[in-house]
Amino acid sequence: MPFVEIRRLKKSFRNVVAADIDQLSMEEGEFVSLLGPSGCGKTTTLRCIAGSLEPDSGSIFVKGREITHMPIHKRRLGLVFQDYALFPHMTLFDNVAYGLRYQNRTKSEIRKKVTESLELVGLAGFEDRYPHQLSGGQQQRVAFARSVVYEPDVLLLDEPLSNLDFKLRKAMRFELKRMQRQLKITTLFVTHDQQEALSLSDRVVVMNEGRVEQVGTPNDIYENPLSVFVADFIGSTNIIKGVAASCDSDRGVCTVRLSSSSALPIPFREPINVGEEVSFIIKPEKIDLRKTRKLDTDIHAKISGASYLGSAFNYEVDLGNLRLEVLDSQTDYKKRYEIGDSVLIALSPDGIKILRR
Amino acid sequence: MNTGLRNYLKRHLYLLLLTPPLMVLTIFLLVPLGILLQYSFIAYTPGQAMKSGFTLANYARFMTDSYYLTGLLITLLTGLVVVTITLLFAYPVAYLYAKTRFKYRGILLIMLLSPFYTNIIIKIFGWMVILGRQGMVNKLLVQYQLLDRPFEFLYSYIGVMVIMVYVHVPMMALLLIGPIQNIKDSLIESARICGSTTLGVIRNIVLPLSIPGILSGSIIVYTSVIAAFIIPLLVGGDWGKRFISVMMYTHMSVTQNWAFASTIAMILIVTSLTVIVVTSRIVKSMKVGVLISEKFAR
Repeated sequence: MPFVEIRRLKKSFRNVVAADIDQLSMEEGEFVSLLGPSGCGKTTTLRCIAGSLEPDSGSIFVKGREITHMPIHKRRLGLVFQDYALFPHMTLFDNVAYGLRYQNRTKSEIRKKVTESLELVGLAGFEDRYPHQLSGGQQQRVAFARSVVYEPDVLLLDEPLSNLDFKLRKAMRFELKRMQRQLKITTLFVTHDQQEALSLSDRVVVMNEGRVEQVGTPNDIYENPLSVFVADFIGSTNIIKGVAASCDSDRGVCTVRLSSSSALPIPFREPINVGEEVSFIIKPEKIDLRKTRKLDTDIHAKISGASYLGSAFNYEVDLGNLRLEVLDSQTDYKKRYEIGDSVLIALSPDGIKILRR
Repeated sequence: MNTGLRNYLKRHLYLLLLTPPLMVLTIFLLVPLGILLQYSFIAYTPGQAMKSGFTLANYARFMTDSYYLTGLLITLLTGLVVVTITLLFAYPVAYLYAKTRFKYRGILLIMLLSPFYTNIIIKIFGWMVILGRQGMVNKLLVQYQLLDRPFEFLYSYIGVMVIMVYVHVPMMALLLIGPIQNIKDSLIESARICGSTTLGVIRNIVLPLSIPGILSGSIIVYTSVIAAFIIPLLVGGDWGKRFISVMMYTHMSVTQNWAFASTIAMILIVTSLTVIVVTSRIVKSMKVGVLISEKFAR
């Protein structure tokens, strides 16, 4: 049996299904993210595990114990909120010690554990401060320390990074991963930020409308989205819908009709049936821009938008019937394209993911 | 209009906005208080109209007569007792409304608000029917042989306390709901998940964090209790006459000694303000009060 298992979990609010999860499991020490837009059911799922919501049906097991209807304080979980939820009337020491006081521990044991925990989050010596004397990032660390100090079975993180500014958020991402690795604690992380999910997790669970859309490693999710929703949510901007009109399997190119008047030659690996409705996901970083024709599958286009990102160029190219986003990693500023330039774009089969509808 | 003048007006616009309330307060509160203050220094001669003059005799009479001093003490102590009992009843109700998934919150709110639509006299007569010699409470107690004969609840301290608490519980509960609601749910949930039972959460989190609300609610109820005179007058019997507010009323309308009544009023204002200031200082000097008010002040 897996360390954490959710079976046929269902929760509705006034006949609207908020979460409907058939099966979801976590191994011991694993870092799993629930990723999705707001209202996708990720927070509902987390709250059912935490116990602040009662599921309509289904069961949740942690470490072999069923916790579905267990009182919250007996579940042996840790939870970090978006707003940190530090107790404003207690010192950091008392905040972190809070959970330990409910376990039969001696005073010296509590002192030792709190000190260790504050050291882990880099706030040793701050024991006597109050939460309002700390910055947002520091409060975040205290909240983490408070949730792990009493060694819960599972740590739940409810969008803990989203109240921090961009730079701090990036730094905390590394911190969080380091601390989780060090403690080897099983962690469930809820977020709407695909970068956070991809960079932190061992596995990502993409959710949509209460259901699980796809489960996989970050790389798997990014490279092989199984649905247009996942591709879109993970950040692919070039999603083209069309019908395969004719396929030349020798050249490996299919002509795809986008509308009654326009078509686009698309290279493919897996065979596509003529007449099949398909969606193509073309990764912006896998489109090549060039000035002279190399392959006969190269397509004429015009630069319709250009922005300099420092480490790369971001272009929008106009193919006449559709626009594609291109990420060009060549950083030579002199070789950049300007709006209005005519270019050729090369689509490679590696950079194209075909989804059947 | 030149810019200087416009800026001047902009900066002092608040004065314009403050004028109406300040005028109301001045005309209906400060001026009458001033008149009372002046009256309290006038010598009183029975059967004669009030004259101007200055004497400290009224204050001396109050300070040297143990009858008035114990009256003051009884009034202030009653205030503290009523506030304490009221808190014990009102806090759970407010908590129930503010922080639980209690199904009938709407009905609860109506129940809390409805007493305010009834005049105090009606409420007192209602309690007279319930607590009287032939009232429901006495009949039940006698019927189940808990008492040999009806107990005199009315015209005693007990009657005054019961009605005072009854009148102030809804007020206190309504005053507490806001502050308790302001305590973030995530704090409660965090404490629960750390291992606290519901009772532990109330003791360690909710109660300490609602101290500012408890303090302000208590001050309002306390002020209302020590100023109430209809309740002790109607159901207090001999006890009721010991309440400072009733003494004031008697001097004002029975013996027509407005000067001494004014003196009592002045002394009551000063002592109750002192009690309020001292209590809030004490509560604020306890760490929790300071921290929370600091946090709110930010």
